[in-house]
Amino acid sequence: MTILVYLESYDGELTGHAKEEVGMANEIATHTSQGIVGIAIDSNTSSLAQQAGSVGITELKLATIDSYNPRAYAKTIENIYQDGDILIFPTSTWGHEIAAYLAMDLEAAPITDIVEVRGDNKYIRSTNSNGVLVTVEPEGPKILSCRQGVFSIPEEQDSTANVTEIAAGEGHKNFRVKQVEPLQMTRVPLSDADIIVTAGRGVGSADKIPVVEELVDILDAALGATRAIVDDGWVDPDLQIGQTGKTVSPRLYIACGVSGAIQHITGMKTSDVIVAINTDEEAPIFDIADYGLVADLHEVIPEMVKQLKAMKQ
Amino acid sequence: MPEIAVLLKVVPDTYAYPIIDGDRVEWADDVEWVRDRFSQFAVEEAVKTKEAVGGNITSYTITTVDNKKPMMKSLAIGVDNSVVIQNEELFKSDVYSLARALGEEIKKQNPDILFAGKYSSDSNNRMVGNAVAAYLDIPIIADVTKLEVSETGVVATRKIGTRKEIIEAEFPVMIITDKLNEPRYPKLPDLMKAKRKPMEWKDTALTEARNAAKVTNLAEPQKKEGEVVMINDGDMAERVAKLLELLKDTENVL
Repeated sequence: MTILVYLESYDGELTGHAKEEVGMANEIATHTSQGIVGIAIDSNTSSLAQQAGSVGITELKLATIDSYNPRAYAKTIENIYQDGDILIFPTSTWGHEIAAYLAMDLEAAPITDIVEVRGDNKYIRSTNSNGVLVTVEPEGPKILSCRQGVFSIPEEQDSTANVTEIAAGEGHKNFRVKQVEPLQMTRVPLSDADIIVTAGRGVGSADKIPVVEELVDILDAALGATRAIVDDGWVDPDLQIGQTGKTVSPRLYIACGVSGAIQHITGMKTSDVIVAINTDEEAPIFDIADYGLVADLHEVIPEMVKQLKAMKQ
Repeated sequence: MPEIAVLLKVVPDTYAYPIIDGDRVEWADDVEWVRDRFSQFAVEEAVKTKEAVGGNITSYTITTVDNKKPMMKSLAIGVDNSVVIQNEELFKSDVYSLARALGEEIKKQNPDILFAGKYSSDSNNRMVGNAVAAYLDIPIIADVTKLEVSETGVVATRKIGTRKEIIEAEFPVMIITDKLNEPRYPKLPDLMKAKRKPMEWKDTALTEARNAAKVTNLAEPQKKEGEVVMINDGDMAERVAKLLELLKDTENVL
C-alpha cells in the first residue's frame, strides 16, 4: 500500500504544483507511514527522474505518451494502482480530468481541493466560498487532489529517483491536442510570483491600471485583480484572485484599493506579508493585513515607485 | 442536429452566510437559491451551440429545494427541457453517486455534446461535470475559454499556466466551461413562455445514493492572528519610507 503521486508535468518539466503534491504526500506519510511512489507521464521523459529526485521522490513509475489524453493517462495509472493505495492529483485542469476517470473506474468518492491533512484519514477542504472548512474521512479507494499554493515544496535534494517504465494505457480516439502555443506572458504568472500587487475598484477606472502596473514592474511582481474589476473588463480574467479565481500565497501581497470581500480574502489570506492601501479605514482588508495605509493609492504608489527606484540604484 | 445536455447547479446566493450546525451546513429560510455562476456560462454556451448548429437542450439538476425559478430562467433563454431530481440524500451524497445519477438520467437523452460549469460555489468539488463524462466514458475538455462547434465535433481552447491548448474532439464530448461568454438575462415574455416548456420533476434517481466522503467536522476558517500595523503618521514620503523599511528590514520580503 503506497501513496501514488501523479506528478503533473508538461514537455518534460514538472510543474510547481507537482512539487506541492509531494509536500502533501509527505504530510500524509507522517500519519500513515506509507511509502511514496511518483508517477510521471510525458512525451519527453529524459530528466523527470532527476526532477522527481530533487523533491525527494525515490521511486518513479514512468510512462511515455506522445500527446496528452486524460483517458490514456488515467488507464496508465489504473494499471499500477492496487487496493489500499492513496492517489494524489493536483487540483488543476489536467489533474481533475485524469482523476475523474480513475474515480469512476474505481467507484471512488474523490476528495478534491484539499488544503490540509490532519491525521491518517482526515482531509480538510474548504467549501461555500471558502466560508466553511470541511473535514472529510473518505471510505473506499482514496483519490485526493491538492489545492495549489497551500502545501510547501520539499527542500531540494541532489538525488535521482529509481525509474520503472510502465505501459501506456489506451485513450479516447476522439480527443486530440491539436495545438499548443505559449501565452504571451510579459510578467511572472500569479502562481509563481513572490510578490503580488493587486488592483481593486479603488483604482478608479480601467485607464488607471498602469499606475498599479508601474509598482508591479519595479517589484518584478505579478498583477492580481479582484472579481469586481475583472467583471468590469478592466483586466484579463486570468488575473483574478479569490473564490472564483486563483488562490495565491506569495511572500508579499500588496492590495491596492481592494475592499477585502470574503470572496477575495479567501484567495490570498495565506500570503506571508499583506499590505493594504485603501482610503476607507473601515475596509475589511485591514482586518487581515499586516501593514495598512489609509490613503489614496494614487498618492502612495507613485511615491513607492520613486523610493524603490532610488533603492535599486 | 446535436442533442445537447447541460448540468445546472442551483446554489444559495453566494452572499448568504452559511450556518454551521454540527456536521451540516444550513441556510436561512429566506436565502435565495440561484443558478450557480459557472452553470450560467454552461447554459449560455449550450444555447449558443443550439443557435449555431441547431439541436435540442435538456438541463439536469439535483437539488434539495422546491424552487423552479432557476430552471425557468434557463428555459426562458433557450433550454428546451428541464430534468430535476429533488432528493436530499442524493444531493448530499458523494461525487460518484451524483455522477452516476446524472449519468443514468443523461443516457436516456444520449447527447452529442454536454456542458457543465467548472465548479459550484457551495460544494467546490470541481469534479461533478468531469465525473459525469468519465461515468459515460466520453472525452472531457475542461476549463474551456473559447469553443467552436460544428455538426460533428468541437475545437476548444483553454489556458493552462503559461500555455494555450487547442483541443479537437468529435462527439460525444463534455465541455467544462470557464468564463467563455456573457450569460444573457431572460426577458419577461420569455419567462412567461418558459412555463409551457416541459419540466420533469422527480424525487428519486434511477440509482442509489451513498456517501463514501463522510463529513466529520465543519468549522469556520480562523482569522489571521495579530493586529494590523497602521502607517498613518507623517507626510506621504515618510509613510512610504517607513513601509518600505519594514518590508525590507523587518519582514525581509523586498
